[in-house]
Amino acid sequence: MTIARKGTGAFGRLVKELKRIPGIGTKSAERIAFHVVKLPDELAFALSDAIRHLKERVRPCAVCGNLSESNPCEICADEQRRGRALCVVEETNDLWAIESSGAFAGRYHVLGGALSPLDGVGPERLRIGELVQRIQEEAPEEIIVATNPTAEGEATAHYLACLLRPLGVRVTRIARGVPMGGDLEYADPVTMAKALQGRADV
Amino acid sequence: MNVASLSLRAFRNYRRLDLDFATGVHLFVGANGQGKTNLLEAVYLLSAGSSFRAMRPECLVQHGESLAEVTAMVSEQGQDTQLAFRFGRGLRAARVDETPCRRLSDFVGHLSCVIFSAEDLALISGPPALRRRFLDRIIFGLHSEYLGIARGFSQVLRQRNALLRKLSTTTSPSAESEAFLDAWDEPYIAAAVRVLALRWEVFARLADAVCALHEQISGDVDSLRLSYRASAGAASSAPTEDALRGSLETALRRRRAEEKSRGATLVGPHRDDLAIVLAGREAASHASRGQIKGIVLALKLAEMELYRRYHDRRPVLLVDDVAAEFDRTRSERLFELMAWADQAFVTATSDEVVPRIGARYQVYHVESGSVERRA
Repeated sequence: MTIARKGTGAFGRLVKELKRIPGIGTKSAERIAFHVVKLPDELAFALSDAIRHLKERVRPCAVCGNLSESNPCEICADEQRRGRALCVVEETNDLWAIESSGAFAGRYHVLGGALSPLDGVGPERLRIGELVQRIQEEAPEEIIVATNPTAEGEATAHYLACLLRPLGVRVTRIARGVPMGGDLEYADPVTMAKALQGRADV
Repeated sequence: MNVASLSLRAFRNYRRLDLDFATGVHLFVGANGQGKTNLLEAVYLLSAGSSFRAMRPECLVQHGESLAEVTAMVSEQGQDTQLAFRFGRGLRAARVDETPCRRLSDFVGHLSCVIFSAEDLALISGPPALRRRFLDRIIFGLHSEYLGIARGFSQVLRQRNALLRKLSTTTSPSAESEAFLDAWDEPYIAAAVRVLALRWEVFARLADAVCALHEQISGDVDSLRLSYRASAGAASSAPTEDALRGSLETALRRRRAEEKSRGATLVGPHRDDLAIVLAGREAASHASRGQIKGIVLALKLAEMELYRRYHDRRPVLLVDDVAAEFDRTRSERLFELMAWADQAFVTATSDEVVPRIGARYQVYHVESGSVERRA
């Protein structure tokens, strides 16, 4: 496969495209490309059709930023969820994680990332203006900030809290602590300290 | 604890080397550039996951090879642990008893080493970064979670510095830039407090041990005093987390304008220093070369003492080029000190130091990547 190594021809072209995917390096990309070469035609075309359909149909919801085939998305269209709490997340996969818990019945707002000066991401690059506008229009009873417990997520949460409190809305942050079904001895010290700080009466 | 066996593959100038070691002193003798220090470096690599010569592991691979491996059997109170570290360009794989370690912090700490080399003399007169690294390395050895805590801190620091750099070059409205900075202060302070809490805890014990040991080895009246010089301002000798938080908050507020114009974070663990004062005067500028050697010796002894107190374990002592920097009396003290460790690996350009070794010892001849045991 000298052609593939040189990155030219149809094989090299697919490898090059696959390598754009986060977490896929040259080796994995070549393995996937070899696999595709061996696939029966209909399965290979089904894969390319699936990618095409995804790109044609799935769009960010104009209201919350959730990825959906309808606009507004199913969650924003659900009248039951109106006027309750608004949960702010970094990315759509965070939304899906919360949604699959079944523990939240309000609406979401996807920021599209977190503050990261190293990557040139300031508040203007996140969907924060849209969030402020929604709060004024929808008047939710609470804003739950569910950004990741990383430095970037914490900074984003703090920025949002300072920005939103003057609007007269209650702003809360999700709790951090020990995972359910886990052993205390395996919790890392930082999580443990946070869990102790955030203890509650039983 | 002791290293019972050591195997090198394509490591520096060793294509293939397998050695078994008893306890006691092992003296590697050879001319310069034959690979004596590389042996100490290999042992150190298994203890810290990095080189004491501040090099990236991939630079330690033998020329023309892509992968190197260092393996050792480490013995601690009758318990054997196999440590293996394989590395090359873009690859670092550490295993403990054949089990791969997901994080480097799962690997470090199985083998405790104290290294003593001529470069350590720069600890006293060199830049603050060297003293911070000395303290940090001790903490890594005593608290395995410190690695993650230190990494977390440097990530927030890089973010905050990137923001300050941007603010120093652009003319954004000041209310807006204040809000941007406020957002990063909270995670920054939280991460800094986690680093400082462990720094202060270990520092307090180190300082006590250093002073006592220095009195013993120097035998003179010059009293040695160590203090932690915090960039956030003076603190009591054992500040609580709340006190650390408070002094950081105050100092950050006070120096915010300066930080914004200079485009860098000026307050925090990365700006702190250890003050070393001998007989009331700054050692860096006033101590003689001989006095400096005595202080470094006390620091290293104290490091060993902390391992004993924290983990009830005696680290392996690594001494590089013992005769070069130490006069007769001090190197005799150094050899006395080797008796404190279960095992010591020592390099020297000639075997004239042998008569001074009190403990059980074995001499090896090192020449261009081969090691021969002498009878």
